[in-house]
Amino acid sequence: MEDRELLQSGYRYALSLTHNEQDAEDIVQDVWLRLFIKNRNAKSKALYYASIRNRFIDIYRRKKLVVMEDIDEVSQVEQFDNDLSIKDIEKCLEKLRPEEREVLFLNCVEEYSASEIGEITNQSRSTVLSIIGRGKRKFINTYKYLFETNITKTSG
Amino acid sequence: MNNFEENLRKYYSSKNLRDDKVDLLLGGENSKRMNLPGYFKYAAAVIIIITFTFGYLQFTNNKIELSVAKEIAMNHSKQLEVEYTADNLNELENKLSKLEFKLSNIKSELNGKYNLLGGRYCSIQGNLAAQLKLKNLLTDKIETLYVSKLNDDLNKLSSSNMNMDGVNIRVWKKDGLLYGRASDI
Repeated sequence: MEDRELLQSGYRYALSLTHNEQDAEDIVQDVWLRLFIKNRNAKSKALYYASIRNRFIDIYRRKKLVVMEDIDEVSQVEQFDNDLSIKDIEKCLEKLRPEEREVLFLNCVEEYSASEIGEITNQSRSTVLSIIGRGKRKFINTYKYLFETNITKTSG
Repeated sequence: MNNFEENLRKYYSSKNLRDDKVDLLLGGENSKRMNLPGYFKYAAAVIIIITFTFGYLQFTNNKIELSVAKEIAMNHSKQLEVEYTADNLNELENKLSKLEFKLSNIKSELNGKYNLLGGRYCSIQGNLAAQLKLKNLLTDKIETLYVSKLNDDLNKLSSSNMNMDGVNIRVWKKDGLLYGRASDI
């Protein structure tokens, strides 16, 4: 993977955690400088992602924004056929917890399997599957609440 | 693939780290390895030559000073938290162990004038640097000091003092190191 591509994919991963472009940029800058400035030829995506994750946890633990909650049961997620604008996707993602955005990004965008995500995030495969299911349901419910309710109100 | 995944892919592929930040972090190393079609390379080369020719003619006297000052002003204005808290340079030197110089050697720049609050890694023109948060004992204001080992490019820089975006920046060289101090005006 090209360095530029690696840098950008790490930025998107950081963004999935922070949902804040400035914070994601700061995390990537910190991690990149620390890991690679002296070892330009030894770049590892696994190490890069793990470091981004650790840096995020460091910062957000300090800010007490990461609160763990019990994982609910895996349940069926309904089909979602809407094509949303970037702004609408952003609003729906904003309602998700960092760990939900993280696994959805790794699964849907990076195409990692639940087992692989489990290795990256240090969780079991079934936990990862639960978070994926919960994240998707929250996203879809948020969309329905924010936009479909609005459409009904407007048209009514 | 369903539309949920497509929506997420669309969202994240629309998000990119700014070009100037990418260039800063890669320090130009990637430009050697870009794999573009031939005519793109020629077009890019022509654009780069034209840009650099005009740029050189316009800013030949102070472009490095300006870009360093701009970078320092931008970093200072972000008011990032220190990564490592420390009240003395020896302690911070142990924490910022990847620097290419000894932080304890810059004591004379702080003695009696500043209290050290902490520091973090940063970069100046793609060069690894230390960013120190200081309290000015005279004014009680928080200032930021940047220190980096001089390389060929940074060595061309002359000492300067300028105001930019509401920040006063003083840049100087001493004993093989580049210093940049930023304070709010």
